[in-house]
Formats: sequence, C-alpha cells, structure tokens
Amino acid sequence: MLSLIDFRIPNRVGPITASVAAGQHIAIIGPNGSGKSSLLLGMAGLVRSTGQLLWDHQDIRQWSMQYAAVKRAMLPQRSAQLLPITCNQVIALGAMPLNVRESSLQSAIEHVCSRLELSDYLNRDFSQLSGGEQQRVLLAKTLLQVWPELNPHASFLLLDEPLAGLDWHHQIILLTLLNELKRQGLTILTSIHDFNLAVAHSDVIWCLQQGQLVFSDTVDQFNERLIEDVFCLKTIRCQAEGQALFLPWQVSHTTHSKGD
Amino acid sequence: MSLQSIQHQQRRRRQIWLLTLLLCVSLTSMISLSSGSYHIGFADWWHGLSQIQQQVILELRLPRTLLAIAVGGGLALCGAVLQILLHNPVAEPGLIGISSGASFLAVFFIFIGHHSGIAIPAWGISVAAFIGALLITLLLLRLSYRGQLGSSRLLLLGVAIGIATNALTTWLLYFSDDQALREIMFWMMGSLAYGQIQPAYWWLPFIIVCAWLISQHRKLALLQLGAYQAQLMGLDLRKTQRRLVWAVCFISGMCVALAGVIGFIGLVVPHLVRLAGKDGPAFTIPASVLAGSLLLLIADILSRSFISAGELPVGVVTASIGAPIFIYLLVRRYAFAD
Repeated sequence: MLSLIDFRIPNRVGPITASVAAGQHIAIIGPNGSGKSSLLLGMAGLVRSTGQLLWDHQDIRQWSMQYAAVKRAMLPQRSAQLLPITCNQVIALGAMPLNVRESSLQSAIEHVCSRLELSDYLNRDFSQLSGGEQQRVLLAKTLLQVWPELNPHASFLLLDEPLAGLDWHHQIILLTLLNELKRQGLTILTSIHDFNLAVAHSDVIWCLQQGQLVFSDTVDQFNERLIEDVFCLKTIRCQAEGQALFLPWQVSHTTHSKGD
Repeated sequence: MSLQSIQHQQRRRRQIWLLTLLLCVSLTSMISLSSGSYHIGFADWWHGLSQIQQQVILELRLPRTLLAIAVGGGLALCGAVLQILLHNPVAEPGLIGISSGASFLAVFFIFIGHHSGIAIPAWGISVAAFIGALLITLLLLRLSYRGQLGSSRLLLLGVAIGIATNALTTWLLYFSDDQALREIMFWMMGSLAYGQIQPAYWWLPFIIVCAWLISQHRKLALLQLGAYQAQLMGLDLRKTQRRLVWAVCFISGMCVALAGVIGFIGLVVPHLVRLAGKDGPAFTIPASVLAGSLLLLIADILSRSFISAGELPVGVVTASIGAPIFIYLLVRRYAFAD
C-alpha cells in the first residue's frame, strides 16, 4: 500500500493525506498548474517533499537510487532530446537497473513493442519521430522497467500524461495494457486530462485544485458538480452502455475564479 | 524484422565503421611518418628502413604522430561527451571555458618568463596550462552546484568563466612586448610542434581516462534523454555529471597543455560522425575518437606540407579546411529535412 501522510511539496502541493491499495489504478485529474506533475515527481522522489511517503511502511525517500529504480518506474513529461539514437537503444535502457539475461530482455522488448505497435520503429531514429511516437517509445521503456516477467519486485508505476500526443487507437491500447499490469499487482498512478477515459479505465480518481486534493474517491462518485467546481466547466452527463459520459458544454462563470 | 536481427545488423554496421576508421587512422599515420622535408617513400617501408630513416621516424616523427592521434581523439571525445552532457549541440571544451582557463595560465607563465628573464621550459608551460584547466573545472563545479544543478546552468557558467579568463588573457597580451606576443600567439593558435611524448608514463592516465569515458556510453545514452530519466533509472545525477566533467577537463586540459588551443575538432567531429549514422552514444563516442585522430593527423600533414620551410599552426589548418566542408555537409544534409 502506498500512503501519503501530510505529504507536501513546498510551494506546490499539499498537504495531502491519502492512500492507495496495491493493484489499483488511480487517475489524477486537475486543471493546468494544479500540481499533478509536481505530485508525481514528488512521489517518485525526484523533487524535495516533506511529510510521510510510505510504501508498505517504508519511506520511499530512504530508498537508494538503485533500489528505487527497481521498485518504481515513472514516465515524466517529455524532455528535450537532440541527438540521434535508435529506438531499440532507448527502450533497452528501461532494463538498465534490472539484472536480466539478454534473451529474456529481448523477448520482453519484443512483447512490449508488439503491444504498443512499435515493432516497426525499433530500427528508427528516436529524434526523428513525431511527438506521439516518441511518447510511445518512452512508454515502452518505462513499462519495460516494471514488466512483471523481467522485474517481479516492481511495486508502482507513475505516468505523467501518458496519453498526451497519442491518437485514440493508441490511447485505448495503452489503457488496456495498464489494466493488465494492474491485475498483476502493480499500483498505477496516471495523470490524465480526459474525464471519460479516467472514469472508464481507472478505479479511483484524485482531483487536484491549486495543489490541494479536493476529491479522492472511486470513479462512480465522480460527477458533473465536481467538474464545474474545479474546472469552471458545465458538462452534460449521459449514459451509454452502462457507462457515465461527460460532454463539455460551456464555460461556467458562476463559481469562483480558478486562480491560474 | 526481429529485434535480434536489428541488433545484429546494428552491431555489424558499427564494427564496419569503426574498423574502417581504424584502418584510415593507421594508413594516415604511415603517411604522417613518411612525409616531411626528408621524404620516406613506400618502397623504403617495403624494403626496410635505413639507420637514419629509423632515427628520423622514431625520434622526430613518431612522437608528433602519436601526439596528433592523442590530441585529435581526445578533443573529439570531449566534444562528443559534452554535447550529450550539456544537451547542447555546440558544446565543446572551448565553449565551457576549459581551454580559456588553460591558455590563461600558460600565457601568464610565458608573460612572466619574458618579463622577468627567467627561462621557463616548454614543459613548464604545459603543466601550467593543465593546472589552469583543472582550476577552471573546480571553479565551474563549485559555482554550478550552489543551489540547483542543471546542464544549462553549467553551460552558461562555463561560457561566462571563459569570457572572464579570456579578458584576463587579453590584458596580458596588451602588456606584452613583441617577442612575448609572438610566442603567445603561436601557442594560442595550436601546434603539434612541441610534440614531446616522453616520459611515456605521462600518457597512462590519459589513456585510462579516455577508456573510462568511452565505457560510459550507456549512462550517456540515459543522460541524453534528460535529467529526470537518468535519475529515475537509479543514476546519481550529480555524481555522474561531476565525474564526467572532471574526465572531460582532464583530457582537454592535457590536450591544450601539449598542443595549445586547437578549436573546431571537439565541435565538429561528433557532428560528422552523427551525420554518418543515427546510432547512439555506443557508436558515436568511440567513432568520434577515431575520426578526431584522423582529422588532426590529416591537418598536421597538410600544415607541414603547405610551406616548404616551417609550418602553419595546425589549429588554423583544421578550421580553414574543415569549416567549409562542415557547412557544406550540414546544408546538404538538412536542405530537404523541413
């Protein structure tokens, strides 16, 4: 279990007290600048934070860098990349902290890539790919790090806007794959902008507003009132195939201003 | 195509390129050993060298040829590593102030030597240059880790420190007399003429540090993807950056110490290598070393053969021949890219 107690990233996020059971998928939503990325970076131990951040009663920030790299993986938002490197080299870097045999690494890479439809990209130059393609390659690298066949010790996975830049087809492929990984015991936290995908593909929603956790509950508690309060947006709720859908309708001015 | 065959193909391509470069370096070394005012033809090599020829080669030309290989390879290696480390395609030892620091201290000693009448030997100047490079590194790392670390911060500080030390060098130039000025200018243009390789154990740390840098290609590949990516994979970013900067400064400091300021190679060779292939640091790092050696060997041969008596400073030759070729390649390569 992952627990945050009075967790705070100075000037950005918190204090937050919440916990996540193992094998759950948490979708983190919130307007731009509400602290989603900071929260994920803090949970990965990359930015300074105070309070408690526990995995099975151990403080994550006490872990060595090496051990942390085996226990968790994270996809940060895309970073600048200038020089050429082939995609298969980028993906293989995901297994760098792990101690695996070359043959099992190869079959895992092939498996991940076939799932993300990257098999034709392996020989291509990463720096020449489009944004969405680069995102998928980096996703493959990140997933490889916690891939159950390679790394049985992996505990949780943090993804910062993994759907950004992906087309619908690849968004659903990724969310399906995450669902499978979750069922194998991985705890997944994903920041996401699409309410409907969050509701349909995750178990719990955390909603951030100006660094505060204003909602943390199961997806069936998610409603249009929250959207209006946090995003200043009126939505229409409809029902299709037993699934709630929210359609953006108009910007609402009735609530207080968002502040960003 | 399966991953295995892709990797196999990649490895083979890499090997072929590296072997070709190695072959070119060997052949060019032979030419370098043969050329000069006392020419040694291929027939002489074939039939066995005379006593005098052996002496000329071993005592005069071999040290110089080895120096060209070491300095060219070292500078290109430093450029290739810095470009990845600083996320900047124009990074090279000169840009972050290492060469400026080295040349300031060297010029300072030449200046002192001339104006005080104390004869400072050539190796003394070299040692001064090397110490200058290390001092600049110390200052650079000290300043850049105060507060948050970041590659752009390192780069900007390096540029600023470089400008400051260059200003100091200019002060010295301003107050130098004609004779000192001439010596300083020649030193700053870079030359392999003082190619002194003895004592040979000088080179042992150089070779060890180069080999270590080449072996870091996987960490460099990670750093290329950004600071967060590197840290997430268990890399101690600060320690890694610091080690790499020290290694780069050690090598480039030694290069400046032994051959003066030779620009261009550190900047351009990694780009030329990358134009040859889309491969990552596993290829570009060792290939840059070989290509750098090759380029400086060729430049040195040319600098010795342009004018019959005497020679041109090799830094001038690399820049005036290399730069137009480089511009041509860049324009041709990217003309249709967008």
